[in-house]
Amino acid sequence: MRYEKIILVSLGVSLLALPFLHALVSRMVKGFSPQPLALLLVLGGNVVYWFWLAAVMPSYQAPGSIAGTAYAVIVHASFSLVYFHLFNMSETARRIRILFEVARAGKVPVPLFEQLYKTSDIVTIRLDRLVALHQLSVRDGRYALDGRLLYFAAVLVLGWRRLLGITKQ
Amino acid sequence: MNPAILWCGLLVFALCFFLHVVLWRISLSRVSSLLLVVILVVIPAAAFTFVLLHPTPWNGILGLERQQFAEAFLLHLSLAGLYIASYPAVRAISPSLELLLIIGGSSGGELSSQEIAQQFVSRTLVNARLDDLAIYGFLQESGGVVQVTWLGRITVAFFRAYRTFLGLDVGAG
Repeated sequence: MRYEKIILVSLGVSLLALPFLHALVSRMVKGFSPQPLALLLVLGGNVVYWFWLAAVMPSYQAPGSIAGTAYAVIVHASFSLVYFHLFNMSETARRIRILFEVARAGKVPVPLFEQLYKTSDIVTIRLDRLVALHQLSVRDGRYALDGRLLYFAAVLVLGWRRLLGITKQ
Repeated sequence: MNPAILWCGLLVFALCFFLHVVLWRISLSRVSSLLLVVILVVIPAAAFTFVLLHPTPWNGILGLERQQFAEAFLLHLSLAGLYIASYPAVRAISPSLELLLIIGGSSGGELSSQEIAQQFVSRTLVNARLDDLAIYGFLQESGGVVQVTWLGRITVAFFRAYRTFLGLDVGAG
């Protein structure tokens, strides 16, 4: 089989298997925070895929095999991270939570809307989540930065907002 | 694999991305997420479909066959999908990232939960998202009451089924 076909078939198989693997792992590993588990699965899956490509590519010495490998790495990483964003949306997105709350309540009078999903809950949930991700530490009720990965991501997002001219929104 | 597939896909994404940055700096639309999908997905899809149906002279210029054009589009789509999925955190203030910036930027480098909560205004956290959902047709307000539309119900059903598939309860938000 040509290397190009190998790449396309492997991309399809790996990416289609991802949600099923996620469902299996999330049922097997109870008590582990869902967000880091999903991230580990996606990142780990990419590393496994890279090793598989590294093992397969030398067998195909045809011109363009490096381009094909780069193609596979980019497409696999991008689509698997799209999946992680989909999961993250189901786990953390305010809009999805709001939809669930309004759907459960049926009809919500506008003045009572903010009681469905309180600001204090939004902040508390996220503080707990960031501590679980080791991005914040808490001591004597005071929070401080722990890991720097998401902090740098936040700085990048801030810079990107400035580039797009949406800092005042 | 023909390296032109890689370059074609990356070039299309780069061009669409450049257009996105330029348009956003000129004026930010209220339906910017929808506009982003149009720029990164709809227009390139239309262009690629045109090229697939009328390969000449594009196959001569780019040195790609029909299937290879589709592969280039798949590469563009993967990058476009990733950016679109990441965009909400850029478009509206992500509370988690905002929390980190607040704590990281505080004098002393630490804050209590009360001090942190004071930095957030309910209107920003909830009402902004409510406005988004109404603009895109997921919620509707009528007679002082908010309810979910058919589009909102489909979305809820999808995410409920997805969470059940994963063996998880509904997310905390």
